[in-house]
Amino acid sequence: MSWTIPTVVGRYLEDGKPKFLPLSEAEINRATRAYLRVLDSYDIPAGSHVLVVSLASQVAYFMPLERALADRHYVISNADASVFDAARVEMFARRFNVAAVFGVTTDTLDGLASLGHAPASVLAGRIVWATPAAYARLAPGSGYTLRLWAELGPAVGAECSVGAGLHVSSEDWSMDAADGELFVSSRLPRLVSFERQPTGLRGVIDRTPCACGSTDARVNL
Amino acid sequence: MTGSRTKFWHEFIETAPREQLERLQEARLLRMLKQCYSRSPLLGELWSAAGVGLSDIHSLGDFKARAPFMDKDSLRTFRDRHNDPFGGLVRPTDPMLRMVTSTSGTTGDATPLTWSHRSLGETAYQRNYYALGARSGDYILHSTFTFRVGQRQTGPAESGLIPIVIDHTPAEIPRMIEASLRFRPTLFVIMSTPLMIAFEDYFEKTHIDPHDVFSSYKAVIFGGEALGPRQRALAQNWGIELYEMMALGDVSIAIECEMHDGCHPNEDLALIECLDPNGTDPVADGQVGELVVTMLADPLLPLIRFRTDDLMSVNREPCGCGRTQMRYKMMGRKSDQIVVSGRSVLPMNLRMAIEDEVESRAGLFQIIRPHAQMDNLRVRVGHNPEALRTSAAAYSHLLKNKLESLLNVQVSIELVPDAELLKLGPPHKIPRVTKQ
Repeated sequence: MSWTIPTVVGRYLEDGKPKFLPLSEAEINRATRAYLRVLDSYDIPAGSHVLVVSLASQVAYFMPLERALADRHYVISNADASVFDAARVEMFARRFNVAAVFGVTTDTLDGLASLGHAPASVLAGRIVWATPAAYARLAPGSGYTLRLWAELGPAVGAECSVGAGLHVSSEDWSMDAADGELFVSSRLPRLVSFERQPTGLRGVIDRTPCACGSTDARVNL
Repeated sequence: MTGSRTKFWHEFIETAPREQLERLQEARLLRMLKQCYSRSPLLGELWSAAGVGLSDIHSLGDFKARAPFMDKDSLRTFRDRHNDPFGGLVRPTDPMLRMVTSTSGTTGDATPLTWSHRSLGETAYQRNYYALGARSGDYILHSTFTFRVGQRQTGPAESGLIPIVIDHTPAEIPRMIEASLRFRPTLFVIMSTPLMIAFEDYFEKTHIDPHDVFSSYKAVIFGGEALGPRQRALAQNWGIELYEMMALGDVSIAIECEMHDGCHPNEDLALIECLDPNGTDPVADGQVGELVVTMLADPLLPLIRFRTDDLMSVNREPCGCGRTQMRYKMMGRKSDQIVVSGRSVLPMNLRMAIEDEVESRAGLFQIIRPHAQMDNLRVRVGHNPEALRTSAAAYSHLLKNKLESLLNVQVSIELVPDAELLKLGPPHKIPRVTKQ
């Protein structure tokens, strides 16, 4: 396992602009373990079908997730997080017993709407991890288990089954807030280190253990 | 891999004499049939209906003589009759099932396909990347989609290649340029018609030197549709060498070598037959036939004698690159053939004439085919309004005359801006034939 050679180069956003984010195998493995802590809080049986909705450029956040899903023997399908590929999201949801959909964005919701599909009916009965903007649009609805997923600069957060804040790996990241704005700093060796990197998000940090058993810091946006 | 001095990732397989390759294919075919016959309800049903069983197949010859065909409609029909989303490919509880991927869905509802571990395409990419000169530690600019193989990047990781992953959209051209200059990748995967249009536009507006941007690339892989002469000429002006990539009937992919004389599939991973598009007889090498493919490497994707609808011509002569595996050229889709006043027309017949005009140099067009047979060829042509040398009506008239003279059929033209036409498909291509 290399600490110095990138496995992949993804991107993170700084002030809304993409910056290259090289990741080592060690970093990806740690992020995979962080996702496993979140996934294991749900009772999704092995062999369940899960749909991952993402853009290729989000590889830094979704490669570890897919490794975690594979580790738990889930059956994985993919769709692009775009207006155009919302048809694929709908197809998988209509044809398969999809237990969970990860990474729903407003583009996906807009695409579903443009095809005449009510997102609530497409996502009914499933665990749905949505970006903050998509979460806000889905929150008034019902019939699905809605959880938050968010990029926090180079870090990532995902809500566990309890749904009481985004879990952010405390192994990898220390978090702080100033005037409500959230910052992340890297704790362990990384190919690119971060010191008080702005996340572009505002929220409150909760360092108490979660009811799911995790001691990762939680963020409430 | 046999060593760093060889040019090929799997040298034995890629350069084996054909008789050895066929022995390998036969061994893998018999194993594959044994593995997937009982686990695929669709296969069992089709073979049973044809009165063929596993005990009838002992050789490649038996298989080619007796095995029944399937196509995408077989999957859809099975799916609808049995309310089985897997189309009978596998049982939903199969413990080896790991991925359900899907076809592009360019022209309709995407068809789900099943995998056990990872896409066969990743092995094909691995071999081709290596043959094109990428080596462990190299960066590759990776601009594709997630819907085929997801985000795991196992192929590049196993090869020691470092993908720089950028979304496949013209909006990302500045970042592709930045990545090219900063990381100096050796491969660009994949270039497409919409990206080339955007690069051309960007270079013209910014006066950035494409030679500098692309100087580190040993190969630029072009996909989404067949590569046209205009794209090759454009690439030559930018100092890059384009290598065409083709889908291999939803089983894998195939990429050109440096001889640029057809795409090399990996015949040890998929058995390829080139058959009469309207029958079952083999077509002679060099003649146009339908690609019929049989998966040899993943029992979770039992596409066995799968009629792809793709028209191809095959060359089995040893290639100048050193490979002994066949190469093929794609000639279009069988279902894209249009009969206009008794004459057969394929989209490729129009392409050069449209690309040759500066207004429509992007080569974006669609044939509108509401019926299988028509008296009038209706073509929707994309154009750059800023490039019009005359009125839109006059340009439309010019194109109409040009195509009528070329094809000897009546033509009607609908002009639309390039940007509007690009919205009708996924980011890397547009449907070339459409009902409306």
